[in-house]
Amino acid sequence: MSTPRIYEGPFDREPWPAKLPATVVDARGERRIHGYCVRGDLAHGHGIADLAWLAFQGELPSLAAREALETAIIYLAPVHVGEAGSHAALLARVVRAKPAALVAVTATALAEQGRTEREALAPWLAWLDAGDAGDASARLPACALEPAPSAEAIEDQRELAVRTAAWFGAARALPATPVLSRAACAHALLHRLGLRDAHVVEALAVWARLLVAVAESASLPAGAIQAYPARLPDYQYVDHEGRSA
Amino acid sequence: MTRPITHAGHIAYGRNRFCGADVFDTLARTVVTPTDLLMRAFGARALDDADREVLRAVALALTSPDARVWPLKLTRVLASHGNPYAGFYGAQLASFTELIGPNAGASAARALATISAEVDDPADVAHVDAVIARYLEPRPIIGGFGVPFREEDERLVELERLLAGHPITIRKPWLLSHALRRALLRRSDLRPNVVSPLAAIALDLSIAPHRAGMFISVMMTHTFAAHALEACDLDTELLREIDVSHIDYRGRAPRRSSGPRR
Repeated sequence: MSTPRIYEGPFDREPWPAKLPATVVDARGERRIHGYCVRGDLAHGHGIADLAWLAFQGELPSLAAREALETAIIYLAPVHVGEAGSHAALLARVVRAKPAALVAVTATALAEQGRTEREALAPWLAWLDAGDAGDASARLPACALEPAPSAEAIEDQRELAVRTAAWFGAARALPATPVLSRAACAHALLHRLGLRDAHVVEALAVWARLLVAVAESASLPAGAIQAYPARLPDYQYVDHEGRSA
Repeated sequence: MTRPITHAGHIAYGRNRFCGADVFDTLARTVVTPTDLLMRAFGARALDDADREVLRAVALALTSPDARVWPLKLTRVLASHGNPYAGFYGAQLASFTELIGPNAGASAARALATISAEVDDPADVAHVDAVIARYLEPRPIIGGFGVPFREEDERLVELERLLAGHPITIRKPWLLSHALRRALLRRSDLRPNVVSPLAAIALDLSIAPHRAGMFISVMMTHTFAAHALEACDLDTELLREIDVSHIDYRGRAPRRSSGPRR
């Protein structure tokens, strides 16, 4: 009589850790974030920018860091319905996705937007790195510039130059001219704040935009398929021999 | 706005079209398995029975369904609130990586396609080896190589066993993938994983290299489905919240802020 064969694979054999690791949230007793009790401390007047900074940096922000982070988040927020992140939210609403599914779909699309935005701004981030390394001679890359600045953008850029001088010092202030795009301003602020890890930057971008995009999706009632512009764009089917439908 | 062109499909009353063919006419007459339609979506050539046997072997080789393997554990965690879609589709988002997981197939297929473009005769071993050496020279690692925790990737072993003697094994992509394998073993003892032959299979089916990762992903979706569906039924208590006693907190000790800064 043969001995039954006992299957053993890597998950049975290797010495895996027994516990999940955690460094941010302490759930033993009242929940704490990086040591600060939520109900006994953080909830008493701290703001959401404090929370974001604390989560990623492990400490509560200085006044300057909080202001700069809030400014970056507000710059990032206004995703419009033509942008994929907000458009996805609207489509999810139109097909009557449950709220959790709509939020998940929107977060996915916004995360993709954040990823490609960072890729497109790579020369700008490299320019900022070079400036930090003492080389401020290179020209501002075109990807950072606002192509047709409005009067508000021109004025905002002037103010931002003054505010960044106060936050980061004159040597690390953003220029008053030329006018930078809103996204370039946001990413520059995060860069100056030392928030450079892609996970952190893309999480902040999703966070900033998610509420706006989900709110925008309510422009149509759930299930309003006939109110959605199905022919924008109006795809034309063409087969591989060039015959169209 | 000019009308953008799509080749993917069109619906019309009674005459739906999909990737270049009439669904209820041409495809109804020629499609043998659902996989035929799936491969059509990837731009693969029309399948014959030998191709279908290859895809059968691929799906079997990729049936590596342990609940503890990371992407499938992610499936279960996401499905633990009872939504199988969150588990099935959400977990597969994490496949968008470069050097591990199914999407490594894109990098592996690009490598093979680049090498293949410089090789007319895969039996010309000296020329093939020279082309491969040039390709590898600036690249310390490419997709499809590396086998953690074990001597060899059992999925690759079984795939090759299932395809032994199959015509695909004497065609160019397969032969070049083996030549690449030999070169990497000589250079760094880097062993191939299942993605390496799958990249060759993708190219053999005329799938574009950048689509090879998704090709591998869809061929393993049954494992995600099994775990997503089961987790909805079984894991609600188990994975929605793992007890704090199983968490190793290594962060800051309790402290108190001096209040919000104004």
